This record gives sequence, C-alpha cells and structure tokens, in this order.
Amino acid sequence: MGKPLASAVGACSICGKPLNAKGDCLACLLRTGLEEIVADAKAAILAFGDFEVERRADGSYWELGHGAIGVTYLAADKVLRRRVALKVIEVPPAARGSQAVRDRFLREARAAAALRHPNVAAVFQFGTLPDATHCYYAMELIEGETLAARVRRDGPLNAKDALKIAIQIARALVAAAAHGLIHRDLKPSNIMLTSDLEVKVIDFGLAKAITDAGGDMDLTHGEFVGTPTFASPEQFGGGLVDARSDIYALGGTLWFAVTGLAPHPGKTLEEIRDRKAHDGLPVAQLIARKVPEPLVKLLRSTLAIDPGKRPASARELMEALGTCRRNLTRRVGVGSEEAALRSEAFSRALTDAKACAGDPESLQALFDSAAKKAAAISKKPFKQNWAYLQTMLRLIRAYHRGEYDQISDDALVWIIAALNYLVDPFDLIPDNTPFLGLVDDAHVVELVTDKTRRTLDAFMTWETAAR
Amino acid sequence: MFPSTHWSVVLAAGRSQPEPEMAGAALAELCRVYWAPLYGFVRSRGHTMHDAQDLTQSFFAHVLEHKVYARVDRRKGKFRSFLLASLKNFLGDTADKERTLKRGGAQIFLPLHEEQVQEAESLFQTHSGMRNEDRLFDRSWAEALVAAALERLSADYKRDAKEQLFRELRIFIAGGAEPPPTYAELTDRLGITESTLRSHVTRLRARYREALRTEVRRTVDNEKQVDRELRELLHVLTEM
Repeated sequence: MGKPLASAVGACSICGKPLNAKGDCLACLLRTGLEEIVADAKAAILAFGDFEVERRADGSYWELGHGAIGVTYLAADKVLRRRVALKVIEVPPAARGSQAVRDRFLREARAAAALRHPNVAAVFQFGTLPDATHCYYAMELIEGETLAARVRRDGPLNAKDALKIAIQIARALVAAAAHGLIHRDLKPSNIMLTSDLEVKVIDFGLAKAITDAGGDMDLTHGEFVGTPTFASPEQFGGGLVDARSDIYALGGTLWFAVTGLAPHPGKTLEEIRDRKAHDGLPVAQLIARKVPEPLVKLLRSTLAIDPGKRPASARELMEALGTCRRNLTRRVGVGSEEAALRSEAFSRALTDAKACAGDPESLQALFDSAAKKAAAISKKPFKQNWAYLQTMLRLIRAYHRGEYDQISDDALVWIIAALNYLVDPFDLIPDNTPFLGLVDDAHVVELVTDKTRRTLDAFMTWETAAR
Repeated sequence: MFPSTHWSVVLAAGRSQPEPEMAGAALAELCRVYWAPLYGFVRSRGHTMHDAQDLTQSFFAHVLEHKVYARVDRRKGKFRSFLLASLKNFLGDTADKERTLKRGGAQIFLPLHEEQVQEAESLFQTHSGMRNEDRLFDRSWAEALVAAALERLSADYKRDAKEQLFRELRIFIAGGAEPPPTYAELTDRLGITESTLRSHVTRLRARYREALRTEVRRTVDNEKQVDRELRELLHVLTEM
C-alpha cells in the first residue's frame, strides 16, 4: 500500500505556484527547460536611470513579480544606496514619440509620488529611458507578500482579517482621493501584506498614468490595461471611470480574500465582461465560507453593476467597513433582535448565578440545566472550543463530587452564566482558545475563570454600549 | 545518433519490420519511466490498486503484442498523446480487459520495483482530488518527466563525486518553500568563492535544462515539438 503523500507542502518562494509532494516546484522545473542559457551571467547589466536590477545567485534578473503592464524587479538605488522595487513598463510603440503622452505620464506619476500614506507604498522616483521605449518607477520595497500569494498559500482569510485588510485599503483610497488619484488596477496582487497584516497598496495612480501613456485604450480592442477580473464593469465599456471603480475593485479583492475566488472569473475579456454584466453575484460562495451576513450585504453593494448603487466615496466605504468589523468583533452574525435577547439573558444569568452561588441546591439545579443545554450543542461547528466545553463540564462534575477547593465562587458564577444562559457559550470564546483538557486542574480552573470573566466582561461592555 | 529509447525510433521501427526487438526494447524503457501516470489514470477510473497494476501491465503487453504503435500517425505522434488515447481505448474494450485480467494480469514484462509501484500510488493519492482525468494524467506526466531529468542529473553529479554541490544548489532549479540562500551563505557553506559559485549555478541550470529537454525529446518526434510539449505541460500546471 502506497503511503499517501502530503497533497500540498506550500507555495514556491520564487514563482508562488504550489509545490509538489516532494517540495519541488514543477512550474519552475518545466520553465527552466524553456529558458535561454545566458552564456555569461555577468554580462548585460540592466539599469534604468539610477537603478540597477539585482541578480539572483544563478545570474538571472531578480523579478519580484510580473503583471499585465510590466515587470517588477528588485533593484539597487546606486545614488542613495538602498534597495527598491523597480517597476519597468514597455511603452507601446505608438505612444513613444508623443510629447503630450509623455507629459500626461509625468503629471500622473508626480501625483502618485506626492501621495504619502502608511498604507501606500511610496513612489521614490520615476522616469523614462532616453529612447522612450520604457518607463519606470522606483517604489518602497515591502518585506512581505501579496494578498494573492497569501490566499494562494494559506487559503481564504477569516472575515475579521479580511476586513482588517479592506479597511486599510479603503484608508489608502481616502488619502488618494484627497490627491485626486484613482488606482484603476486594484487587485489582490497589488496589495502587499506585512507579517502582521499591515497593508501597503502598490502601483497607486501609476496604472492610470501607464494607460494614458498608451493612448485611448479600451477593452474591445484587446488593449485593456490591468486585470479585468477585478475591474469595474464601466472600465470595460469605456464609461466614466472614477473613484467608484476602485470601490468595486476593492469589493472584488475582499471577495477574493474571504473565498479564494474571484466573483466573476473567465478566460477571456469578453467572458469576464459578459459575466459581470449579466450574471448575478455567486453569493453561494460566501455562504459556503460562512461569511457573516453584514459582510455579504456590504459586498453586494460594493460590487453593484451600477456605480450609483455603490458606496459613493472611499470614505463612505471605509466607514461601512468599520461598522461591519465592529459588529463582527462583538459577535459574528448576531442580528439586533438576537443581540437584545442575549443581552437580557445575560443580565438574568449574572443575577441568578450570583444569587444562588452560596446555595448548593439552587446551584445544583443550575448545573443540571447547564449540563443538559451544553450537551445539546452540536460539536461540529465548535471543534476547537469543544475542549473548553468539556472542561466546564469537568468542573461541574468536580462540584458534584464536593471538590470545592478547586473552584472559586467567582469561577462558578461565570461558568454557570456562560453555560446556562447564553444561547451558545462558544460565541464568547476567542477562536484561539488553547486546548485545556491536558493541563492540571488548578491551571484549568485559573484559565477558565480568567477567560470566562474576560470574555463575559467584553460581552457586558458591548451590551452596555449597544444600549 | 538516435538514443535507443527514442520515441521516434519506436515510430520508425513500427513501420519497418526488421527491427521489432529494437522497438520493443525502446518502448519498454519509455513505459517504465511513464508507468506512474498511466497507473494513476487507471486508478482514477475507479479500479483497485491491484487491478490497476494488472491493467497497466496488461496495457503495455497489449501495445507491444498488437503493435499499436505501428498505426500511429507520425504527424500527430507525441508519445504522451499516443499512450493516453491507447489507454482509453484499451480500458473501453471490456472484452480485452476481462481477458487480460483473467489471465492474471498476464505477463509482467516490465520489471517494476515495489518502490516504483508505491510511488505511483502516492502520486495518484496526491492528485486524486482532480476532477479532470486527462489533467490528472498530464500533471502526473509532468512529474514523471522532471523526476527522470532530475534523476539523470543527480546521477551525473554523483558520478563526479559532487553530490553535496547538487543538493545545495538544487533549489535554484527546483524552487521550494524557502527562498534560495544568499551567495554569502552558500559560499560559507561550500567553502568556495562567489565567482565559482556563480558558475556552478549557471552550469547546473544549463545541465538540467539539457537533461529535461533530452527527456522530452525522447517522447516527441522532432526538435520543434520539445518546446511545444514543455509549454503545453506548463500551461496545464498554471491553469490549475
């Protein structure tokens, strides 16, 4: 019998494709078979203005990424002696001799370079080669990975993390709006993430500059610049493109973050355009990923075909995202009616539990009821917190055995309140609750008491604020 | 001079009766290398491990016995396409399949190691989630192709007593989860200068490239098809 190998051992650090079971990148291995051999690896220094493209150990130019409009290299700034991300774009032949096009590019590039914001990768310098064949700009080098690579490697993000990212992107859009800039090519691979989910949007404003440099381009002539998958419907039809296009693209990016899929994929521009225009949003993807309703609602509005039905500005979107996130932080998926019921139940729980904490008979009745309710809760959705529930039940049994010294009155109050009166005690427990079943009882009691108190405190705070 | 295990040799021999042994030997060697993708394809049709082994072996016997390769249209004659189409026909032919199974998987004419069978099963398990059986086959084919090239390269380095060098520099052709080490790390580890290291890496890439293209060359009919075959397999990988 063959031993099944691990189906995935991560993504290739060079090209981002999944590795095979041996940890090798098949794509890299095949691609090497197609590459031209460079006879002298030291030959041909690739330089753009003050920037010299760095090489990997094998002599190849150090590509950080490549997209529809150009290649991004790791490069050295020979003057300021720092490393940068250098984006190099080939200017379409038709646009090379035009002074008007050049002026437009420089105007847009200057505006992009003037934008300074913590969530935007700074543009240090830009220029064009003397023969006008290429333009380039040097950006702040971000240590991290793109949102696309992150999702490809680890799978979709949870709603909370996805919102944290989306809010930062929205902040960047707000700052850009103040400079009269729109991105026009917002997508997961233009979102850089640092290790603690700090966002840096790259290529800000430059997409438009490059598009303009190519003259009047539209989708129907096959010269669509950027990534159609995340582009707004109006970008396909030559309609007015304004900040609401970026809002649409942010919606698509957020959708991708929580599902790992684009809302309207397709193999050709026409297919994508038609799907955007005629197919409804595949909301089933969100439901399958258990995306909370408020977020589903927000995604629907940001991805509306009619720009007039989307949030009117980046600021409005940022506020909507913030509200959505606060709701999720309080309790994912709780509607206002349910929240009110919970709030009432919780107040009753505390009052009752405190009242009977010193009365063994009343306490026992509460424990029995709590145990019954806890046993009825389905295990499946709460795999990680199941241990927590088991610990609570263990404490109840300890109480029945008369092992009072293990449990403080305070702990009893909190445990009873959590188990007996809240519809689902797991809702209050953070996702990363450690497995408590393996530590010694004293430690368990300490942890349970502390965690329960803190989580119920948080619930109380929210409940008070909600009123 | 053509290598004896070249697919074009099989094609040529299929049409010239005087060289049947040559064709048989060449085909058997090619089939040994690409046994796993075929086995995986049979498994994807729902056959048990044991039956899949028997059927794969029987399929090769059938190809040789009936000289199926002699009927290949040379203009369309890629080994990969030929094997997949022939296997589909073979599996579709119930009577033939039952007959070969009844005789106990017939002749085990391909000398298979247990390890090879296990690897083929592991490969199948790894990709068994793929819905499209043709894509599963192509993916497994690509795996077998690069494995053969890497095996050949590794043997060359071993022969030159440069196994450690190969192990250290392998990441520059095969990628990996971790970024390639820096020059400084490698020069320290290997005790060589940076310029020597650079030339080692360049040479390794060139040698691997040639090993891979040689391997592909064995399965296509002419040089032009080498690039096309590599691009096609790369396309299969990138669209997943």
